[in-house]
Amino acid sequence: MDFDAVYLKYVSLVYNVALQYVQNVPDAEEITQDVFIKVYEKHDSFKGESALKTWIYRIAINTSLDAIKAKSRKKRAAFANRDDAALEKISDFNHPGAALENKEALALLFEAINQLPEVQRSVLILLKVEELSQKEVAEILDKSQKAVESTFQRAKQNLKKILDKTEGKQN
Amino acid sequence: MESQLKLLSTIHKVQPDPKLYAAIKQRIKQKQEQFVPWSFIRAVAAIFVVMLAAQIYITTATSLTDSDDLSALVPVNSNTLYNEY
Repeated sequence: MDFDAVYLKYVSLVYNVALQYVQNVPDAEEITQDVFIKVYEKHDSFKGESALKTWIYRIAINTSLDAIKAKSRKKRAAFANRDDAALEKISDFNHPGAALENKEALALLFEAINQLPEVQRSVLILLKVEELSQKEVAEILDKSQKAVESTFQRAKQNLKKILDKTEGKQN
Repeated sequence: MESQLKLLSTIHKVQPDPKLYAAIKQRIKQKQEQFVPWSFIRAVAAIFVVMLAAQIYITTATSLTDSDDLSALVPVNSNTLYNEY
């Protein structure tokens, strides 16, 4: 596996997946670096049981989720004396792919998406932002298509609840 | 809800900074410089463990057989260090 060729082919995919999870450029760049270091280190152990693209998607998703957890731990440590509700509101939303007129609405939407459980968040991002098919999402997340569909329905319900709650607080 | 989800599809793809490639290459280079040959170290450790086990076995066997009949432990045609017995 030629690393340079793999990098050129998949860097955009990895970077954009990272952006959908962290919604800011510095963190997405850090995650992209980490993903390709892992690809470089583990390419010998890639058995070809799944497509290379699927394998890279999985690494990108797991690395993004790990980065979010690490950042949230850091934030908690830094703001140990503040309450959790205030912490949740600290948003790093600065997605370069969001059009200016949608930025505010997307910031609110992602604030809600970021509160979803990891699997629901991944299904929503892969289906609705990455616009992958249910079959592709099922392969990446190693689930059945039926499970992806039901996870998506749950994600929508939970997202609605979170958004309603946020709206209620604002009014 | 559907209109909000449609909003997600308005996010367009972004090209990463070309400098990212240089940064990754730099990190790979650093990793290579810090490379520890674990497979070699593991092989040496395995040989050491086998030799140690053999040494323990030989020591135990000789001490156990000091006062016993050696024929049970030493093959008839053995020309190893047990020959002295």
